[in-house]
Amino acid sequence: MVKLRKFWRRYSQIAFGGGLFLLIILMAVFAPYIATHDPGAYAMQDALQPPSAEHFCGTDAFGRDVFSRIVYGARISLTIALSVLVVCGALGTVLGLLAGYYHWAEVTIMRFMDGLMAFPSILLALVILTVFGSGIQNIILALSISYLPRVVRTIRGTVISVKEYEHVEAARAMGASDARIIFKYILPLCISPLIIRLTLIMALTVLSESSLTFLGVGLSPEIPSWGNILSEGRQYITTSPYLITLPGLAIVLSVLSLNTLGDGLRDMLDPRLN
Amino acid sequence: MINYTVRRLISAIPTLFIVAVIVFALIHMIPGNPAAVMLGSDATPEEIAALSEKLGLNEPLPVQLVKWFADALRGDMGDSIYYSRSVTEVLSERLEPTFLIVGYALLVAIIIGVPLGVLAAVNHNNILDKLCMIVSMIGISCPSFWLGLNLVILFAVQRSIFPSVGYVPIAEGGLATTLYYISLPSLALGLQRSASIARVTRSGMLDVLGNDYIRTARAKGLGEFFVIAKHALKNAMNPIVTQVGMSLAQLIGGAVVIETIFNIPGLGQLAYDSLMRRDYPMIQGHILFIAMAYILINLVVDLLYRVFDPRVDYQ
Repeated sequence: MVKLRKFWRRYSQIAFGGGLFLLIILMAVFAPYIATHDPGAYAMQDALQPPSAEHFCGTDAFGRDVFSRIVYGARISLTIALSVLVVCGALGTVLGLLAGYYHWAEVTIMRFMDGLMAFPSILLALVILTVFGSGIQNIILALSISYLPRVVRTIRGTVISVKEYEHVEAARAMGASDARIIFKYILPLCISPLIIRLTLIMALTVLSESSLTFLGVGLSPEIPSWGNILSEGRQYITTSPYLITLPGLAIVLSVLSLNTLGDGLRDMLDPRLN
Repeated sequence: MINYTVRRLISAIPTLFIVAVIVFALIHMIPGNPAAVMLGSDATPEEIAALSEKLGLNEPLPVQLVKWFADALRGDMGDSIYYSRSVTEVLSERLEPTFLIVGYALLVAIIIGVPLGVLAAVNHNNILDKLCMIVSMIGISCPSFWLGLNLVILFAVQRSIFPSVGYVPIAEGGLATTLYYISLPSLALGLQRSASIARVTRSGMLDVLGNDYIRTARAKGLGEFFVIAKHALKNAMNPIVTQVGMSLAQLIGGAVVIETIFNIPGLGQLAYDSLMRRDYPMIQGHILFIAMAYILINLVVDLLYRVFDPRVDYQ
């Protein structure tokens, strides 16, 4: 019993955050089975209906079922968040490893990253979207560039300390090539901070994507994303406030799950905290 | 300290140059002539040629970049296409609302965040600690624009306590009226930031509360309030100051969304409008200005460390 309590105390954040995030993933995967209506089906006679047994979260100005749109919206948010995770994870790891290991690369890469971090990431994403246009691919590009410096910094910081470890020195003394040292002896020790950083970046991505779409520069209005549902609902804030409150809760829950998971993983994987 | 400040300011110039390169490169990635994009589809070739000449677009890109950056460092960021006035002038007009919203929001964040963090730390591992941390985790997870809209529903739509949108400059209505108008956007931004300040305060306080001098202060009979406020909190201030500095920088970013929603004519709305209008000189100037503000905020945070911890050495 004591062991169980200890286990729960240690892993409760991971269990809660991971469990909630898993539910959101399942909601996205099984959206066609969970949604009660077609998210794009117009029914003008049912416009702006409050929540009821027929429409759990009410209907929007075009009579579309908000619950079904929220369920399908999870697909959009998760697709973008996971894509940003892959791009940032892959590119950030390579650049971070180079910047941490080679001094010549550090000067070039880190100065560029400092430049990217010298103004708000939402502003950088806005500029990129204005230049390249809206759409899922461009929003992934914009947010990946905006959050890349955080991953590069994390990896570089780890590499700088790990490359002084004795096992790396020993590998170097035995004549191992730089590539072997980096990928076999340094990279495995960067995985924990990378996982923590990427989990928190996914949370930021969900927040930023909804903000950008809400501003009208993210995704086109017909896509049932959470930001779009909120943006459309804003016009009816006085008569149908549920169009704001309920889709927003979906954002809060998904970001909450990722933040809690990230915190839990940090507590578990960072030995300094134990 | 003066040497350190000067060194930091000089070292900021390369970072600003990189910011200029990034923004410059992004803007020149737009397919076609930027002048044609700015003027729209109705522009004649003569108008495009005239604007290209005016903006110096006929010169090689590196020359354009170096000229623009050198002018910007002297305070001349060029002229806005939309306003037909100097970028610096337009930026300075938009400072007041953003400055007030960010200041107000930061105050809200500190007033809520620091006591919440202290309360959690003092009640470490009990129900109050858990409750404070759950509240702050939920706060961090809320988009500020969604918080803002919910505040509008609660305090402007359901009860007419605050106005839902708009801004009255200090010169027109006085400071009290201005603060009244920006209450909801500032609360939305501040509530979200208070959550992260609470978490950092708690962790900073936990580091300090186990120290010998805290035990000594208690042993000599000092009241718990004084132990916490005078001995513990003061020594936990450095991470809190760092977080407040980071929050200030993030509030400037958050202002882009909040000012657009609440129709407040500040720097955030200016950035959004300039992007929508393809007013590139304005965007370039705006981003460089924000980058300067970021660098200054970081510098002030670093200088404040010494105020709370005299052991900090700037050499």
